[in-house]
Amino acid sequence: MKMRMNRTFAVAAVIAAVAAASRLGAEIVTITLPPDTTAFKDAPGVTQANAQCLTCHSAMYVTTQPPLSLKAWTAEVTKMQQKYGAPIPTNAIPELSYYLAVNYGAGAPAETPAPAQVAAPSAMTVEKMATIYGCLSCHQPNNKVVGPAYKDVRAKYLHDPDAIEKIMAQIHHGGTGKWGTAVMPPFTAISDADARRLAQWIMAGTDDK
Amino acid sequence: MSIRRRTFNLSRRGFLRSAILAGAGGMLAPWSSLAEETIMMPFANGQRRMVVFPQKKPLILLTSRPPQLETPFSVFNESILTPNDLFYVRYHLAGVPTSVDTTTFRLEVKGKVGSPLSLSVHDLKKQFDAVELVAVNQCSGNSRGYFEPRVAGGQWSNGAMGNARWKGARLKDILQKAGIDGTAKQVAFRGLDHPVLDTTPAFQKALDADHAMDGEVMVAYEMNGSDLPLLNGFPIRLIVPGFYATYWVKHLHEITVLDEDLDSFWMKTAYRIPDNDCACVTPGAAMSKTRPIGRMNIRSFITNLSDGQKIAVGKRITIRGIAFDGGDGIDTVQFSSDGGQTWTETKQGRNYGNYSFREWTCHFTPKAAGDYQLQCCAVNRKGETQPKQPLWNPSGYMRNVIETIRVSAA
Repeated sequence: MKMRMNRTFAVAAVIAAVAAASRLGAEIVTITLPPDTTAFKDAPGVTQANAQCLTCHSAMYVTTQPPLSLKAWTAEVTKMQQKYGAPIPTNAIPELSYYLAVNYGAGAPAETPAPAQVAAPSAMTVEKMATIYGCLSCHQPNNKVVGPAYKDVRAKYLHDPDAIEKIMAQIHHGGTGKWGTAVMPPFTAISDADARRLAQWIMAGTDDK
Repeated sequence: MSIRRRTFNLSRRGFLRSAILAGAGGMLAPWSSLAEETIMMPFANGQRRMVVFPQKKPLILLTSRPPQLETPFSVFNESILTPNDLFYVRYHLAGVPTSVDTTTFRLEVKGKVGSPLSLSVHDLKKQFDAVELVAVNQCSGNSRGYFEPRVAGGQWSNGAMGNARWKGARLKDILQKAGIDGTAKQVAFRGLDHPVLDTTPAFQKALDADHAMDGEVMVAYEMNGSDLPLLNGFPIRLIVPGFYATYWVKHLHEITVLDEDLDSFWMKTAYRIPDNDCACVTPGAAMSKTRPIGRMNIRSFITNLSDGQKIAVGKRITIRGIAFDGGDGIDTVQFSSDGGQTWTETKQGRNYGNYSFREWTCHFTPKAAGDYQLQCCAVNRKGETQPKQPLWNPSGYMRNVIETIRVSAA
């Protein structure tokens, strides 16, 4: 009984403290939103999902949907591209929709073969590679969009001898939310060679040119 | 003079404090321990986590970025006014303002007006009559998870709504001070929240000019006697009594008077309903002619019992619930314990005005052991009532079917 009393007392004190936080006439109100930590399932096509969806919204926009058909998921992805202005390459829509239908929907119809994954971009220029992998959906050379600007990443690692390895690890394992609410997803499908090229490109400071 | 600065960080301590508080009132039934819990909505893929966001007690997490947080339904049984820290949250775009400084914040009034205005919150309080109104704020897609066939969109249960006492300035007075032009056709509203990408349409909504000037639409700076929580629109939001929450623009900072209809994705493409009396189509069908969503239809709920609950044979219990509509006012609420075959009239609680939740109660004694299908059905002063079968539309808006709670007596 004594414990119960103590708890009640503690609770009463807490109520007073919380009530004080919601009075009238605050002049500056600042909040910190919790990091968005839900990740997409690691399955074929996840690189597209990470690259195309998470710029604007949490994976929960997908994970909480009812089991939609491939047709319904294709309509959603197309709506994101055409109505909401998401920079989803048109040739990535089949792979992305298929990933969503298989992993978060009613599955893909048996007669629908898995679409080809958008070409591995190793032979491309590094700028093109950064576009295909979706890096540039969240990062820009000089301005913060969702993730930090590349010039800020470079400034952080400028005198770090392990810069390339650290950026490669960030690409492969994702972020921790240290730059803001949006948490970078892991891009496990990017090869070591491609991740190294991207890291070297970021540290080379192409944005100044 | 020192600045009254409030910072709300999420910390383990903050979470514990909120969790303890929630447990203390005994009001948030879905969880009981201090650990983060999950709850299950009664539809496919309905598992949700309970989370604490700044200035909030634990709410049901739909999405974290941007935040969409649902009010646990048991809250509606505790009080007719929904507490600010339990009020649901819904954003469209992840550019959520996380800091607002009212010393620099201004509401701009511009467009087809004689003299554009730039108003601080202090100006709104000092230059205009203060009015108060209790009104329900309900998401257009509240209860979307129950649509059958299921539709894409925010998969809410019934907690994307709340009822609060709003205090603020009449929009009419603000527009009159600005000298609204005779050519005004619509009035457009924007808040501080913004898209992540420049290519995404910014969230902007509009009301017809005569609606904006009806004297009831309000720019609110108080919610239940306190500042608005940031995630509910601090420092000011538009209150459109009787209309779905899509029009209640949060962090309102720009009012533009137009001599034409607003050309916005959020009016012309999104938030459209079938242009017919029921706002419905055959389940699974596409819409042909559409119009923007507007006034809320009539709904009612039982709040003190939940599906699957056990009750005692021969023991009289009080059934309690709420009813509301788009502003005509609740006339009667009927109760049925046999799945709608026979109905009895309930007693209504205090009247907080036509835009508020209206409490109702009745008594029920299960005479025999077995299952009972409990229902309630409201009728408003225009004679509008709730359908027996759910109405369907492709966006999952405006559910208002007579809801059923199954209980068993033993």
